[in-house]
Amino acid sequence: MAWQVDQGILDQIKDVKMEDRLSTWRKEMKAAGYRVYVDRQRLFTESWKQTEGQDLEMRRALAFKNICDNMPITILPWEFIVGKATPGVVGATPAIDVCGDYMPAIWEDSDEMTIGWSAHATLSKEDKDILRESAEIFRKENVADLSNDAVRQVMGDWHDEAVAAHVVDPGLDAVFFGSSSSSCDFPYIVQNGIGSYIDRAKQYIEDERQKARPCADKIYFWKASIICVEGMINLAHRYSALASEMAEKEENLKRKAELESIADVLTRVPEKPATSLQEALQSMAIVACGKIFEHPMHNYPHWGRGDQYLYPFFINDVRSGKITVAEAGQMIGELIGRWGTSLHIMAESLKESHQVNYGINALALGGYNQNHEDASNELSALFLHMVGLLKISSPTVTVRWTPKTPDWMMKAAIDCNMETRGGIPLFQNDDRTIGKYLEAGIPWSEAVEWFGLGCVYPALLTRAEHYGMEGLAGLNLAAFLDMALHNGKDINGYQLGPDCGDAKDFKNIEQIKEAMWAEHKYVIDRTVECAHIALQIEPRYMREPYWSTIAVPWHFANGQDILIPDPEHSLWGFSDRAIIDVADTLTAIDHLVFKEHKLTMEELMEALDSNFEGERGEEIRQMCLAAPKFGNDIDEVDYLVSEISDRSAQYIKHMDNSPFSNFMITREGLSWHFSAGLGVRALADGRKSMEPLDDGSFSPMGGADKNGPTAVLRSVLKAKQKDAAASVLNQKFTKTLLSTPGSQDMLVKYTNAFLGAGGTHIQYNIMDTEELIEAQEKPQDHEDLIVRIGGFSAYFVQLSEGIQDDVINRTEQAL
Amino acid sequence: MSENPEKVLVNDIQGYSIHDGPGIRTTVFLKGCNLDCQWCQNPEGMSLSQQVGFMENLCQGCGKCLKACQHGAIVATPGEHRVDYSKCVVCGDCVEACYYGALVMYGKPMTAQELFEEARKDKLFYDATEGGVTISGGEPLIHPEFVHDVLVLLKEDGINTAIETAGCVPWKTFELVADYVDLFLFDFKMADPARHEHYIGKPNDLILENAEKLVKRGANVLFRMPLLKGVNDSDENISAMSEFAKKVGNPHIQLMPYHRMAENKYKALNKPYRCEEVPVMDKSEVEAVRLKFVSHGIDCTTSK
Repeated sequence: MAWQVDQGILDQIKDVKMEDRLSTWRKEMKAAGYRVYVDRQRLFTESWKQTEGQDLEMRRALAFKNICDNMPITILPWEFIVGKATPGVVGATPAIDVCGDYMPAIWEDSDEMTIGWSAHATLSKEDKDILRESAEIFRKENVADLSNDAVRQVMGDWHDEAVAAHVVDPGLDAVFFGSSSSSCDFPYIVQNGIGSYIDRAKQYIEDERQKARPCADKIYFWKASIICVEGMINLAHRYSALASEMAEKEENLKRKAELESIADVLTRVPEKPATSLQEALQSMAIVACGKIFEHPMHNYPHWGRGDQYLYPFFINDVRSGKITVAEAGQMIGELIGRWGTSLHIMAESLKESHQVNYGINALALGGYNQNHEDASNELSALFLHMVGLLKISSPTVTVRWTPKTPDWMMKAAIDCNMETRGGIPLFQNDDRTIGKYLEAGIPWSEAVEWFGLGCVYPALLTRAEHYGMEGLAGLNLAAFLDMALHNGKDINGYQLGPDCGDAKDFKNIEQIKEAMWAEHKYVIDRTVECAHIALQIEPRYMREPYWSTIAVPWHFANGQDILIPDPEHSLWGFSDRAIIDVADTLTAIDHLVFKEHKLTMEELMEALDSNFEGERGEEIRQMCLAAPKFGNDIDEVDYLVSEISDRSAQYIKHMDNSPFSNFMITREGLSWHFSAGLGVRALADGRKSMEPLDDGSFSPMGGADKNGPTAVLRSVLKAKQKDAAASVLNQKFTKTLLSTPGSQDMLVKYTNAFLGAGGTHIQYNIMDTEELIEAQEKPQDHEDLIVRIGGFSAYFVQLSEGIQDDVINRTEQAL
Repeated sequence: MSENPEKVLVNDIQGYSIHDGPGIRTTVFLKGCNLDCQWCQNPEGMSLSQQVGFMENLCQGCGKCLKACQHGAIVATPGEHRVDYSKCVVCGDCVEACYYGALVMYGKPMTAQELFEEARKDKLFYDATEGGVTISGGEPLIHPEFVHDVLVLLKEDGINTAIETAGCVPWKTFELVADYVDLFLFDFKMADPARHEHYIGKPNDLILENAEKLVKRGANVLFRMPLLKGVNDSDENISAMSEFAKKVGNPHIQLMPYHRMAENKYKALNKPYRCEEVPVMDKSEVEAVRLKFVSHGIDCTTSK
């Protein structure tokens, strides 16, 4: 019999409110301000100094355990699911041992530092002394600096220049360098407990010793695993003891009982298998702290398919009357809130491309199950409901859309979108994403378990994802075209690519395209070369024994650190973006210069190089803006988008990445278009120098889509971007008009029609322009306003004015 | 395929229109009207000829239009910038020269076949939402053959159709198109013939007669009432309209409260805005009117 959703539970979910626990947290979180806690760094360095000369994997494990054993911990008055990476409500934790001397502020006299995009925190003198000491110690022992050195030995300053010119990103100083992505294997952990890793590691060591030639590295690895997991279990026990101690002193009987329950649960999890929703969430909360202790990267922890692996606990607890739906909602809400507001210190080169203060984390809901059925369940609806109540910018929630996604799920998703307004959740076509994995030779059983990594970028629990690692991620196609028109020189005047001739001598649009493809090939080849160098350097200075244990199962089972990739268990991604900018620009040049002869190449280049200065410059800019643009169902431009995306993807996909698998194409957004825009001079689509590029990877140029939202979708369906596993289309609708009867059902059907016809991704910003302008003027009154920028949501008031203007200018689709 | 070479001027083809009939629709606005409502929201739809409009707020003062116009029809003196319609020959040269979109050409000639092809592009969304195409104006039914041809093409393609009409056309026009129309959005402004003539320029006898015949003929008709304070919101009118709607056996009225969004378009055409005095009703006033209709036994809703 087919699985049936429990309508009674769905009805109860609609009535779930934010209870005191969550509203108090919200208030305290907002009041707490941003704070940097240096305890992790202090404890790491303390251990490191004592382990000199030992194996790297072991040294890192011991330092990790020192953090687990001694990190100051707190249980705040409203908490029920305990475990935070810092003692505060929210807090950031530096990792100089991973990232090198990446916080210029520690050397300055001022007490202030910027930790994310716009979050300011203060540092005491004592804190600075601790960080300065670590910076000295790790100056010649961190993977970021040493990889950079290695790349410079081989390539000179080319890569530094390419990053400085925003032609490729991220730089090797990025925080996510030295970390392989996937997610904690929560499905395994809640079912088996992390204690099982210790038993297995011991057995693996025994087995290894039986071999004729045991591998020392593997044995070190498993020993390191055991140390890390013991650290985690000890952390849980420390929390348990703290809860008992607090319970004894607690006079409020209700709170006393809660603390006793916390103490009790933490004697079992995460070590043992979870037996209830509370235990499962508690297990996850502790386990996630460890990831942040080891490597506080800006996009963790991810839920993965939370509605799937937590479902048995949820439904059993609710059906047996152990908890109510509302209680389940509060517990889930607590963890959504905590993970959604984890603070991270960002490397300088990432600040502009990400523009977030809180860490990016992600939740995948619905989608196919192993039996090809749609897996949406009551817990999916509860997750959506809680995200709608909490109204925070993270997690990124992906509804994995299938043709069988039920209407109640779509309605719950649109309801959540109406509450959060800013593109939460986003809709991603499951057939498309899974299809790309299948094309890459990955079996259905693995591919079907995909989840997002914080934007639309997909990942698998079973494979280490190297997207963004080793300086390998973003390619700026608009910069390639710009370079082609400037003899291969980048915006800073550096000879970054080949000189393909003077722009004035191009005789037709095909010559310009070929010059662009020459730049494309040159830059990509060198970026990959750089990544290969960095990849070899990485494991010499950096290991992740804890992450290698709890993330990709193959690495643990085979005693190999996750930073030493395995050809069968790693994936490699590339993001070649700004395709719409390129298509619009080429179309404008073709029309104005070669077809209609309104301008000569010389006149056009003069206008571009003067950034459309003067009366004539402005006139030319207006001609450029009036040329046909993507997003209006105009075949010429739409098919050009298709041609450019296909050719770029074909080149990247067929590059030699042996012994690893070929690169996959994903075109996610973030606020990349803003930082990438800084590397592109004026374009013939009418965009001025250094202004943002087009938002997302599939959104029309801001304000250029003049024929309504359906015409945009028709353009997108024609252009396809068939090689991309993901691409980003943002659409903006006004909240007032969406409030009319039936209009939300209409949005459900609209979404179904678009994705059903082959659309890859869509997300909606729901707002009024007036509201945004007001928010820009009075940010203090609009701190809650969330907007979606090409794949992730952010607080509008925390964005730069440039990005704010960009969001405001985007054509407001009248719904 | 329609062989009809007749071209009608189309003002706009508006996709994703979800307030003029069921589902996601495309509304096409034909040019030309035989009434003269003081509150008309689409003044560019009144005239049967092409017109140049000038949106002053978009003008950057570049002066390109002055150079482009061969007929001296662009007035640009300090403090005044407009189109002199007595000299304008509607050649479109100034519109072509204006990069800022401040000068616009109202009315693009299209055949029934061309309009159909444009309107059917969103079929994917019509099919998904039981939506379709709404033909509006102006008064679309002053182009009976053309509208008939478009409707036939749409129906052959399985697309839902709606017509927005003020109803003041010969009955034979309705006879011609009614079989191909899934929904008539029928403007019903007021019951009193004298007041009707005062505000609209024509009495309402033909309109009421057509409304009655159309309902009797079995057509799907939704009466829509532009609601204006002091014009048609009196108890007397509400009562009379209710009685009429009940009498003809179609007791459904949708209110469309007056708004001032068209003001800029009047300026663009250098036309006087005749509704300066009419206040915009707030929500509670509109609701009060709606409840009065309901008390008369009318199924009354408010648009948007």
